[in-house]
Amino acid sequence: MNPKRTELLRGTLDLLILKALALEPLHGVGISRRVTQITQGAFEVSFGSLFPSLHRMEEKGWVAAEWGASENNRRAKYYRLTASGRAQLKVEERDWNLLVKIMTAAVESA
Amino acid sequence: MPGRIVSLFRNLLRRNAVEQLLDDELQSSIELLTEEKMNEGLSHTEARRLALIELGGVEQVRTKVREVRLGRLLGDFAADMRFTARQLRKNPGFTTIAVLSLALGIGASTAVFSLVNAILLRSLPVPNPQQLRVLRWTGNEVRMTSLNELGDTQGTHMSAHAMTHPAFLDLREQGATLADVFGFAPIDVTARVRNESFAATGVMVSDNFFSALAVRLLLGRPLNAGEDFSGSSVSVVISYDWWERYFGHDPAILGHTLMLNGNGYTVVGVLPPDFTGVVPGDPSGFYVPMSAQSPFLYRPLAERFHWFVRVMARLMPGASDAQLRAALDVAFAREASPIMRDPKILLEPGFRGLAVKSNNYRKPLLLMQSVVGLVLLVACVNLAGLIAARGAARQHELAVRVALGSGQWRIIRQSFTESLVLASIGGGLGIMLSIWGKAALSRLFAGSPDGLHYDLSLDLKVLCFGVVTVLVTALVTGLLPALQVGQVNPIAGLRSRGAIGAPRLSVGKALVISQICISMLLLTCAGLYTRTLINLMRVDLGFNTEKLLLLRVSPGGAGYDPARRTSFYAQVQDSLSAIPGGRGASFLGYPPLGNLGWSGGFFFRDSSTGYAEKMQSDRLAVGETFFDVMGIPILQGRGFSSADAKDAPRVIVVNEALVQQYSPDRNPVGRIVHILTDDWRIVGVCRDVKYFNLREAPRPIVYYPFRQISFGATMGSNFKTAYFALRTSMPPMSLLTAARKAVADVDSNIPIDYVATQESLRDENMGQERLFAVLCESLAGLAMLLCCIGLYGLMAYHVARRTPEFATRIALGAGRRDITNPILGEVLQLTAAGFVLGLAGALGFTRLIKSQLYGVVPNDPLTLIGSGALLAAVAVLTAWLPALRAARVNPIDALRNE
Repeated sequence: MNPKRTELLRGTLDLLILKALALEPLHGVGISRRVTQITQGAFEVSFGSLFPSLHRMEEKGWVAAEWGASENNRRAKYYRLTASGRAQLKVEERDWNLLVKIMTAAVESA
Repeated sequence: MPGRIVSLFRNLLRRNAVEQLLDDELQSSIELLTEEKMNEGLSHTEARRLALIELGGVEQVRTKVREVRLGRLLGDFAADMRFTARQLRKNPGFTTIAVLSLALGIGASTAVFSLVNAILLRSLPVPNPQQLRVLRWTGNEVRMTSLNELGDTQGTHMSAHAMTHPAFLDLREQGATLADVFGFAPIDVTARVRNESFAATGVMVSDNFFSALAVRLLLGRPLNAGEDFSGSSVSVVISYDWWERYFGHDPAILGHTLMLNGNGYTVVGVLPPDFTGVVPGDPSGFYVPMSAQSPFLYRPLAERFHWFVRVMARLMPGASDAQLRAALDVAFAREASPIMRDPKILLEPGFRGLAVKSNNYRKPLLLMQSVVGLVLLVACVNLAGLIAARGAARQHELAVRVALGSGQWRIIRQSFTESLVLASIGGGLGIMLSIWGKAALSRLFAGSPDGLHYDLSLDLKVLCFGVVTVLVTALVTGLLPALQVGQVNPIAGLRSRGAIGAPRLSVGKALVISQICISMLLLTCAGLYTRTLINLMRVDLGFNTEKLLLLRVSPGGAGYDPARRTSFYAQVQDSLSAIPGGRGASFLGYPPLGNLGWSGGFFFRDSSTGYAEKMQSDRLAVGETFFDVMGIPILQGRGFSSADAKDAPRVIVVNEALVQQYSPDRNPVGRIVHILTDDWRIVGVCRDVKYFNLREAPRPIVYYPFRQISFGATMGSNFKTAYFALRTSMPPMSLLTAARKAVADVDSNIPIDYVATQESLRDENMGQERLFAVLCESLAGLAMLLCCIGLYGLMAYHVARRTPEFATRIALGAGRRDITNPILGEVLQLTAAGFVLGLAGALGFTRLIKSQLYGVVPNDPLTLIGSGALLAAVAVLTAWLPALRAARVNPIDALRNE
């Protein structure tokens, strides 16, 4: 397991984080691992991008955070999706699908 | 949104707590990572090392998180300021123009507002000024013998403030349960303090004057209750100004005696510094009781035909205006019904005191405030245009910033920062300018070097006005450029390095049109006022105004009783007439064009009407030489002669207007007229002249020989001071020394205390017109200058944007005119559009100033066309330079740059 570090496009990261949190609340490291997992190892999110994004999303009200205990009983800050976060996830998913469709069509037309 | 506000505060106020939480989170993450690595079998040290590497440095992550937080706004603001400062330093020309135009606009607005504040808004410095009322009466068909006020007359309706003393007492008693009614009457005296004599203005007041106003004295006591009737009270309360000026803040002032018209008065109190009286603009130095024995009364207090007491009231809590009016109406009707119909009391707001003078300033002040506002608007619009044009030239830079991920909001904010900085610098300068400017304005307004007697100090209201003006200016100025910048298209902007990709400035055109429109408005006003001024200067007064010296002497305050004044004046007249180089002198009760006068009723003996028929005229006491000295022709009968002496039959001369109005069918010469208590025979009719002021239509005037008047009979004929006209054969001022000597020969204790020439009086009489002409001209000049800058900026931008097009056309053989003409044509189009809009505005606006114009109609076509032509000429001249530059484009250079 040695995923290549790929620069994430701005915006894509938000979508991935929201998607990662859709199932259950996670702490920062957990989110990073979940993203790697759901992208089948293609993306490894750097913490330098992850934390600013999380804090921005917290201020926007998409995610809420609280302190809890990890599986090994360590204190960790857990993030969970709020209602507006779920709505945002839907919007970003739709936008992404649209973009993919357009880009695919464009690339294949040549 | 509330969540965001909460985070903003959390970020700003609890910075440390937030940082702490972030640290905790990062620490916990490191531990989680370490644990993960240790689970893979690494030692703790190795696992922690790898964890730190994977996190990418605690400090770096912390900085990045900080950047996305809301508190960053402040940091951004600082960055915007730095960028703006750099930007402004790079363009010193632009910055200077911007700051100066805003400084002038904001400074002028604030200066005018200081006057508006002082004259129209400021309350008397007493508790609860909103409870104060000023009483005014109105009546129909008023027959009045002596009113010590000009009053307002509309048709047969008359309205004034002054009342008789018995009426005041009646009102005071009638309203006692609803309000504290107090009275006062201004008096002029000659005062002597510590052997220094000077003319002074003070007030006679009722005993409850200070208690009703609730003024707290600085020292001593107010006048005692009942002190106005005790009859012998010699108490005086003096103003802070007097205490400072004549007593040097002497703490032992109480009990000191000062002389008022030769009568000793004892100081019992000193007023606080901010209390300058209840008549704003007319400071009073002292307050004496309105007592029955007061030496300042011309007639006994109890007389019912001498109207001179001004009345105010403090409404008690819970009492309403309607209740008070109802109560006072009853009392006033009792007093006034014998001499008028429908007597009524009106209550005016009294928080500013008896603000008659202030109200006269209201219209000019508000007009000035709006005109100044217009100029500020031009300055804003103009600056907005300049910034927009510059912003357009910065398309490339902006496109780069957008392409690099700068948010639109971020760029808009940057643009607002720029206008805010400009407005703040301009505003700061402007407020400083206004401090100097308001003094100048006050002098201009008062028409004298002393300026207005109002407190013009900078207070919170003025400062707030200044700050709000700055903010509004920033908003108006920044809005347009911000909108434009917000629409930057990175692709188009990046495609070319020059301004070619810049959008057409359709808003810029609208801006220039609106500036031309406003300039047009101001130019029209300036033109109308200037023509008014010229017309007034050309007014034919009806008498010879050349080489006429006017003098004033005031024996009344220097111990001359009324009887001795007549002979004193006669001696002065003789003495002045004998001056070599002089060509006669005459006594004048009131100065020509002084807006001062005395009027009253009369009736013809040979008709049975008596005073019932309202016949009113101005009354002017003159010397027997008057008609010769002034050059006023006698049309019928004779003028006065030295035979009309004190004991000779009493005679008067009337003017044409009086004859036309009151004796159109009968030969007036020989008719007997009853005035006050005497009969007078009309011996002549003279031509109408504009004696009292420049604008008036001729009004009925009765001329008396001053020797035949029993001085002191009424206030109007008191003549404590009198004027003399001296006709000269050389420049009038050169005879001043001789005139001084002539007066001193009669009594060396009485100086000439006022000197004027007919020309200087005329100038004074036109003070307000001159004020407006000067103001409008300078403001119109300023607006035009701004307009030129704006137009130049727009055209220069236009030319820069289209340089390649011009280059191509020149390369294809276009001549110079082919390039310049369309550009100048466009300018003319803009000017024409602005002219039409401005014309519409001017037609509406100038109607407001109709009452101030003379000899010119508000929509005077000459002025309108002249303003338009001037604007067009200036616009074309301004556009000439950019047009010429366009025509001189070198096609090879220009096209190579593409």
